[in-house]
This record gives sequence, structure tokens and C-alpha cells, in this order.
Amino acid sequence: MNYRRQLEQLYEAVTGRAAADMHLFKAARGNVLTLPRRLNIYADGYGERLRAAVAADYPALAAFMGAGAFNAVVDVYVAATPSRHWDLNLYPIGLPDLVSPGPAKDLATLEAAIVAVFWAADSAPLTPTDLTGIDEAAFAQMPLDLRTASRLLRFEAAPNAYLTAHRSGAAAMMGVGPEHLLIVRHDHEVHRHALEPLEYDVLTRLSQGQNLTEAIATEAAAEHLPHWLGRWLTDGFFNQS
Amino acid sequence: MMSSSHLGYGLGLRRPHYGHFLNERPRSVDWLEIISDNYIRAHAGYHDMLCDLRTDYPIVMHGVGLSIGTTDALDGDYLSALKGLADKLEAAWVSDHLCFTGINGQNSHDLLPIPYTEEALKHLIPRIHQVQAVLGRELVLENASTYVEFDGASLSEAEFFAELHARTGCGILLDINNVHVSSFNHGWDARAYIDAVPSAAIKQYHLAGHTDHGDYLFDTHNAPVADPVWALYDYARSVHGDRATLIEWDADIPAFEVLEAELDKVRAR
Repeated sequence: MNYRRQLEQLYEAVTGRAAADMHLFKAARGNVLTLPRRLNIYADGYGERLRAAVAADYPALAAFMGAGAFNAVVDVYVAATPSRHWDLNLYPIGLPDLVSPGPAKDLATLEAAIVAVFWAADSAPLTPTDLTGIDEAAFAQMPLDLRTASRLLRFEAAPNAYLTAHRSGAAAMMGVGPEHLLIVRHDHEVHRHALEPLEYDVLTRLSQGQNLTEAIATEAAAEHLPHWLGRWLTDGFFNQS
Repeated sequence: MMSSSHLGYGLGLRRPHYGHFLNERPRSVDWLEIISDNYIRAHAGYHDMLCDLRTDYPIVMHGVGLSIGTTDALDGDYLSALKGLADKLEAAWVSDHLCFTGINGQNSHDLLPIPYTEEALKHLIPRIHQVQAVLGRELVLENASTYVEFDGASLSEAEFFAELHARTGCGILLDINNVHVSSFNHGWDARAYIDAVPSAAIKQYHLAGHTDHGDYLFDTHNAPVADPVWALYDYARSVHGDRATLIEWDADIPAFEVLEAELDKVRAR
């Protein structure tokens, strides 16, 4: 058996995808530990490691669903989802796909977005200083790209309020939505900004490539724009270029 | 007198002690080792923190994701990110493990053993050269704790390391706890292992705690260094001399003072 096949055999045994050919491995000298138990040390560690990585990123979802239901979803995810990246931090991000539509899925999506934003690539924020000298007409035609480390989200339920209560240690209750959010990493911290529905619509249009004039589709939006712009720039909503 | 590569006695930089290092800059710690994988994709805030600490401490980068033994192609993005951080921090050296972590595009996130055969040597030697060329510096490889051995090995683990060093110039991070754990688990002679490692290759020693499950030892890094490991460390130093030595503690991380006391034990030997 060649080198590659030897590695594959051990890997498949460790990840529970196939039984290993025990003849591949050496019986130990002076130690009673059997080969199956030796392989199980690795196999047990594999499952525990992946489950722990997922659980660490979804504390509020675990509280909302209850340990039994949450662990069942995690077990299904780990069994169905091999890790395909050296960075274990990215592994848990796909969990929301396995959660049934409803408040639990909203909460899973929110917690996954926080992880994704935390690990997303850096980008410099657009600041008021960057706009110095740009006239109003030119500014109105500017594309404004949301930060690389950001996610624009809309939920039917109210997972953000639930998460806030959960993190503060208060009794968390899932409320009725909708909630509109921008999750953005700015000054090295992940922030959750609650948005007005109209503001969410404008940011959605901007994220789709419309310029400011196109994105401000209503008089109400135009009226709110000065207030929104101040916050967007202060809180680092957009990439510098 | 310490050689230029003998940095003294160091600790692994772990999250619970970020504040202590940033605010107190304890002089009881000569140098810091970081887990490379935790930082190479991290945002600039982490890099700023490491650069700040670098003004007071030499930094060694220790990875777990290189997977030098796998038959998959080396990950160019991983290597260039590793080099970028190593250059930024002027890392004293860059290490990882003699193992494979995954194959065919999948990853176990574990340090899995490889067979110690001529075929494996032929596979690893050009890969180590490739890594060293990208990094522009020597790669240092650590012996991992293992629980299973491939049959048909033509070399012992220590002999395999010696061959890799001879044919690539790579360094060795000799983890004394791992020698003890693997020797117990496989019935090896731990002192013979130490004897077989080439002195010139040893860049660093690791010391850590393990868990005794009765019929096997498990490398947990969650406890003080055990007495047999201290004895083996003394033996390694008597054979190979002093080297930069690190206390590794990765789980159930205690107060800084506990780690400092472990470092004091190293210094007192």
C-alpha cells in the first residue's frame, strides 16, 4: 500500500467514514491498549473538536433551542459536514442551513453572521475626511460599498433583541419582528446596528451597486439621509474606496 | 552563556493573559510563542497587539495547520500568510508538526501520524524545501504525541527526524512531554529517542502536562509538567544542552502566576 493510501486509511478511520485495515498499524510493545481503542482516541477527538467549535459560536441558539435539540442539530451538521479548511473558525458558519425556518433559524443566521464578520478580511472605512472637497453632485453619484466585514440582514423574528438579552444574562424571550440589522466590524470590534426599515432598503440598494441618487428612491428616505449619513460614516459602514 | 537562538524561557500567548502581557510586560517571561493559525487570518487589531508585544518579547510562531505530511498540495495562501506575519513580527523561527492533518481536501484539525518510511521521506523532503523557500527561513518541526503507529516503518520517529534534518536543514522542536507520552503509548525507550535526535537540529524544547488514562497517556496541555517529563527534560539537556524552552498550557488555562511558577521550575533546573 502506498503512502497516500496509508494516510487515507487512517483519515477515513479517524473521521468515521470507513473502517481501517488493522494490518496497517503496529501492535504496541508492552502496552495492552488495543488497535481499535487507539484509533478511537483520534475518532472521539475528531467529533468532540468539531462539535465544540460549533457550540462555541452559537451560545444563544443553544439556549433558545435547549440542549437536546441543539446538540441533535450539531450532531447532524458534524456528520454531514467535513471540514474543508485549515481554519477551524470557519467550520461552524454553515449550521443555519440545517435549522428549520422560523425564529431559531433567524437566531442561527445572526450568530453565524457575527462569526463571519469577525473573521472577514480587513478594509479601511470611509470617513468624513475622505469626502472633503467632493461636491454634492459628485457625492450623489458615488457608489458606496458596504464594509468587507459586514452583513446586511432582515429577520421575521427578533433574534437581535434575544441575543442582547442572552448576553446580558437577562431572561431572553424571542419577540416578533421584523428586525433589520447591519453587522459590521469597525475599530476591530463587531457591532450590531439596528436599522429602520427604510434605511435597510437604502443600504440594500447601495449594496446592489446603485449610487446614492438611485438608492434614495422616496422623499422620506431623502429626508432621513443627512441623519443616516452621519451615523454610517461615524460607525464605519462603508469601504474607503 | 545563551547562544543567539537560546531565547531563554517562554510561555504560549493565550487569550486569558493578553491583558496581563499588554499591561504588565512581565520580565519573568523571556519570549512568547503564538499559535500561528490563530492570527494569520485575524483582523488588524490582533496584528497590532502582536507588534506591540514584539517590542518587549521575541516571538516564535508555532503552527498546527501546515500539514507537511499530507499528499495534498501545500496551501499557497496559508504559506504566504504565514510568511507575512513572520516577517512583520520578525519571528525568531517558525514551527509546525511532523504530521498530516487532512487529505483529499478535508481536515481533521488533529495531528495525525505518518508512516516512517523511505517513501514518506521522499515525499516530505521536497515539501520542506518548498516551505523553507516560501518562508525564506528554516522550518522547525515538532514531534507530536501519537496513539497509533503505522506498521512497516523502516525508521524510528527520531531517526526519521534526523534524516529530515540531514536532507533539508530543517530544525527540530523537541517536545519532551510528547516523547514521554508517545513512548508510554507505544512502548518506546524515551531516552533512546532523545539520544537519536541530532543535537545540532534542536532549536527548542516544549514542556507540557498530560492526562494519565491508565493504559495510555493523552496529550492535554491542561496540567503542570509531570515528574517523569521533568526527568526526561533533564536528560535531554544533559545530552543536547540547553535550548529555548517553552511551557505549553492550552486548556483549563490557569492564572498567570501558575504559569510563572512552572517557568521558575525550568529556570531552577
